[in-house]
Amino acid sequence: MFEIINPGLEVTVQDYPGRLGYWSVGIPPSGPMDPVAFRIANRLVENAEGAPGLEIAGLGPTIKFHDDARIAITGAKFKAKLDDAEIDWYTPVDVKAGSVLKMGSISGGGFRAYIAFAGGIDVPEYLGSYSTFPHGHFGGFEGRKLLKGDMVKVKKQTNPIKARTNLGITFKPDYPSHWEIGVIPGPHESPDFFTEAFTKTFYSTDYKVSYNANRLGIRLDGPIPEFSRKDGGEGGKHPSNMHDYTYAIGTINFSGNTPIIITADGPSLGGFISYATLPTAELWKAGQIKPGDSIRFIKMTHGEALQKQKDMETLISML
Amino acid sequence: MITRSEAIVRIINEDDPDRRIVIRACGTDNVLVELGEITLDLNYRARIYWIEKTLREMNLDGLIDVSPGVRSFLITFDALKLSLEKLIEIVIIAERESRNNELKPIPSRRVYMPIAFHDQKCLSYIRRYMETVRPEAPYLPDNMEFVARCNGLSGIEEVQEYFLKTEYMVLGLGDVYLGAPCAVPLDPRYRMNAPKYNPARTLTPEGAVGIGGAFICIYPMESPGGYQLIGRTVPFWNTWQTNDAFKEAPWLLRPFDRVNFEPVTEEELDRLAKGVHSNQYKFRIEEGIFDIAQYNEHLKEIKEETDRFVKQQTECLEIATKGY
Repeated sequence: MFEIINPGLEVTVQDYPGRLGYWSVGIPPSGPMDPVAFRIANRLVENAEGAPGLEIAGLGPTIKFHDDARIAITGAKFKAKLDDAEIDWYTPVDVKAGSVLKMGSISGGGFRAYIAFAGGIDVPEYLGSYSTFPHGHFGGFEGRKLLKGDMVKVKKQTNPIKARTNLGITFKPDYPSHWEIGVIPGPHESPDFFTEAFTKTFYSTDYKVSYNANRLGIRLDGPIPEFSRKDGGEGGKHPSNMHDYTYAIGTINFSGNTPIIITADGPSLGGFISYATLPTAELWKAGQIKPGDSIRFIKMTHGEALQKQKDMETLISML
Repeated sequence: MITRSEAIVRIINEDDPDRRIVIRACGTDNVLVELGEITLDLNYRARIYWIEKTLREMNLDGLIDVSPGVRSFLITFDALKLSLEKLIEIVIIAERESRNNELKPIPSRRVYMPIAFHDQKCLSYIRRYMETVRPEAPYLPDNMEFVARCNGLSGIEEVQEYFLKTEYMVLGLGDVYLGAPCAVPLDPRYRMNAPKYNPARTLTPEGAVGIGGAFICIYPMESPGGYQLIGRTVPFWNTWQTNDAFKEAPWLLRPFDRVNFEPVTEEELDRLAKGVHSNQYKFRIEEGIFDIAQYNEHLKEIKEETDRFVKQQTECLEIATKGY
């Protein structure tokens, strides 16, 4: 069991791959915004890679341990002390009952850190997942982010799955402040909806990540899109309007003139056009970009993106 | 015409606009499959029903979800288990197989829901929008008056009258979140049309009923939104499934349900709403079918009246939306 002494900005319980199979009803997958760092954290403490752990965004919490625990922290580096000592990222750490982990602000690139606990966090399952969906008030710890005074249980680890713990540099990314993010054109990158000049603009612009960036979506600041239609036809007055259709997680959606990357807790059905989509292999980057960072989108084919995903899976399976 | 681009994975039946299927890329693990022309036609939605059924019954390893919209559906799959090429071939087979069924009746329940029109809560959220987002717009200060102007109706009362004259067919769920229906008035003679907010509201009350374009939506939770607000109904998401109507799932509505609204006062609505989670409120739901062939015939019979209303609408929309 551990206690939240200070809740930080946003600490939620997530599992991987989240709540799948309910997108057609409007229930998002949730789950970690950076699944790569999350899965590695779990493996470091010899959990199955999907076991429920903590996602920490923006500003870290202070956590008091009431039992001995084995934890691993991954993802963005935050200022952090375990009692009076520095604590290492990407390595399992044994924590004694009574110890306090105090995390502060982010000390480098990236936006989210993950803490895995050997055994996994003990919360009830809802619709097949332990992930929190705060807007629906369900999943994770009481359907919300953690607050001061919360006492969170950790399961006893019964069947540790042996893992390597001396990770090479490949597994410990340095997050930049300028990002190159691969996207697959579509669903609507087409002269039927956007001018060809805009396609050039889209792939040569450094989009700026706005302060309106969270688990629902990441708003970007950039040039006004040039539409090749004057309106959305039956879909609406603005050329970004479409008949309602289902978005993919990772899609870059133009709601009016504003681009938004739809992320883990995002909406499913809607009436706005989507330009290009982050493939699964690139989605973790959406979890680590932070307000003020810049993004250059790089065109990828489905084959290239799938190869990248396979490579990533191979690496994770080696842990 | 559809211009080929990198975003298009495949076009099927290209020479027949009504039968055309455009498969669009959406990252590695999703494809968007669009049917026919860019228009609201329930025949497309009926075809999607049968294609979805065929796909789901195949029990494909790696298929995660099929999520329908108005004239398209998104297939979510695990590209490491089910290749994109194979999935496309399967979609083609499913489309071909479902053609035999496409004019058959579809299971369709009639679901009754109370509505309090022009309620104080919606009005207070509109006022908040005026104070914090945009003080003046054609749809302010009263969304219902705006809907009346857009459709050439005399005022709020006639909007209510039109609203109650038709059933609403659920086409998709999830706009926005948690089983929220995107629904369309089945009777085109009463299919009011009004453009959405620009920019969107930052907040909409739970249970709000709105009109956006030719569609309606109901908001399952307090959330942003863009539909013109006309009233409120009872909760239709029940997390712990404490109400009998939610025995099978925490959401009430399913695609092809026909929602029938029954007017109540705001006080009555708030009383009924409280009874949903405690199971005091009993939803009235009747099993039934939607016969698309019969519906197509009916549309032909009422074509003159429909055209007259659409003409009136088109003229009025132009004037009512000046200054958008």
